Amino acid sequence: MNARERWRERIRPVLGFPGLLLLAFVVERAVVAPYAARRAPESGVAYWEQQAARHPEFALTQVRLGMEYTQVENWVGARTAFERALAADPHCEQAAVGLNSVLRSAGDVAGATARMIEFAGANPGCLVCEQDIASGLLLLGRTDEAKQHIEVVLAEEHPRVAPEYGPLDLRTDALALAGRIYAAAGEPERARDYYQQALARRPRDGKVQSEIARLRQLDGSHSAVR
Amino acid sequence: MSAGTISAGVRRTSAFDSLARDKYIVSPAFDWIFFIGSPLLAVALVHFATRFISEATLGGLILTFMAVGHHVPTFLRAYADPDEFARNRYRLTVVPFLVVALVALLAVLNSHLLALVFIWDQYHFVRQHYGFMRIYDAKNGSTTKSGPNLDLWLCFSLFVYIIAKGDFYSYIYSNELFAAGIVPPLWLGPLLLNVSFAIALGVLALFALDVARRVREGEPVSMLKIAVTLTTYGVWYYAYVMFSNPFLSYGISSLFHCLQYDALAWHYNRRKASALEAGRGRFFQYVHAGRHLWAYVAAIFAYGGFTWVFGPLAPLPVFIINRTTGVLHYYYDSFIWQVRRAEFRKLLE
Repeated sequence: MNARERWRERIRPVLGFPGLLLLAFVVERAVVAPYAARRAPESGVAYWEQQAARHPEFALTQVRLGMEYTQVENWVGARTAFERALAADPHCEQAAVGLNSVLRSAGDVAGATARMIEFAGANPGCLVCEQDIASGLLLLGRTDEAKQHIEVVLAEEHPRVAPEYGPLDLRTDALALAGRIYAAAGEPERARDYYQQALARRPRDGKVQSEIARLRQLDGSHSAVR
Repeated sequence: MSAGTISAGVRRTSAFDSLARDKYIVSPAFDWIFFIGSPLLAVALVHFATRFISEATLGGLILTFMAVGHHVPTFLRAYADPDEFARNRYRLTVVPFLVVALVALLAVLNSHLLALVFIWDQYHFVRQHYGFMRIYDAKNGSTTKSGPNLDLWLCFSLFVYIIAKGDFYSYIYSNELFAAGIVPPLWLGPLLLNVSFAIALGVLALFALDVARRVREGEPVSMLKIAVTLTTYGVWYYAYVMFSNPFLSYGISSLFHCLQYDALAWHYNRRKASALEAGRGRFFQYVHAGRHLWAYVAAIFAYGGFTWVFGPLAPLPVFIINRTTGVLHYYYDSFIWQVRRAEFRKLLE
């Protein structure tokens, strides 16, 4: 074997595998991703409707269908899908969270929150559920109860969530929500502290920035009154 | 007592005799706990653990400490064994840099390609089982030309059938492929199910005929190979089709896969470490010395612990590290464990 052949012998396994990965990447970027981006939301509904018909007893398939219905604002379909998921698996937190969101979109905050409290009671450890309860209670003006639920979420420094929620920064969202709850409860110092913690984690969060500005304005008007 | 009963009794005795004659990889107790019985053990352990911790937490613990942790023995084998490293010096030096760069790029671009790595994960589960079949065959001198291919067909057709039949993996595949922009036609699932079932049935029939022929012609038949296949595929069917739990189906499969892998790697590397001359591969020899089993286990759990602690703190870097070691684990496994290699057979004798 001459030097050139030896070199070829050595380089082939080195380049073969990463080369395949690179090729797969190029195909994904150039062919598959643009196709996925052009896909109409309705095609997702049709696809998951058929999947759910094939696997009616599997909760996550129903959850996925519910999510597709939510995207096209088919609230009735979404509610049915999430309810089917809960019937298939009463512990499926993604289904409970989805149902809560659908009920709230339909304006039934009290009903949604009551169902969520019941679910979280039977399935402790669902932090997304606790956060949804806290935000529901805030909307209902029950800030003392909301404080209890948001503190449950905040007690977990590094919460882990299911992949179905997507890129969810639960900790930062919970800090921002805690700010709103404590502001509504008339505890601006504590609210400011939570907002600032949220802002430290997500500096470009416009909503939190405006909440802090609002608190400052309130402080200013209180000083002027005094 | 009829003649039929007597002949059935004789057949039963032969099967037990054959089982008793079979050569184990390590020892009867070790093999039955870590290789053949580990799928059943995984089911029992997982169901027992759910009494104390939630399914989601348990699934996360198995994924982190076992699935991620079991990449460590691969790296010990690839880099710390001086012979293995010398044999694959270029691959083991250059490929990791290329892979980490590519994985980082894909992760930053949020490419769905990385999610599809789980297909390779499934493939390497099946290849490991096939490896055990080959080892038991090799140990028992059952190595005719038709054997391995029949085993391979059996492994894959049964696995594809289980995957296509179960709700759990149908969901995982549909979801990941859909997210990646690939919409598999709806007829594909039922087609895979029916075709894989037909192939599995056909291969099972051929397999049974082959066993019968071997018995008739006095060729060795490895009963341990059949036993490990029954426990593995029985538990896969249970986990993916009957149990079908989003957190624990994969957890059960991963738990026994990792137990088998870590135990085999320990046994083989230990033999290899003792065969090395003094002064060569000192770290490899240290980690695989009998009295340092704790160091081997600690190394596995340390990587799992690192992932558990730092994953939530720095998700992207830890994801990149885990995915890179995962991809390299699958890739390296394709050439560092080769039953056909003389050294491998010799060390497992």
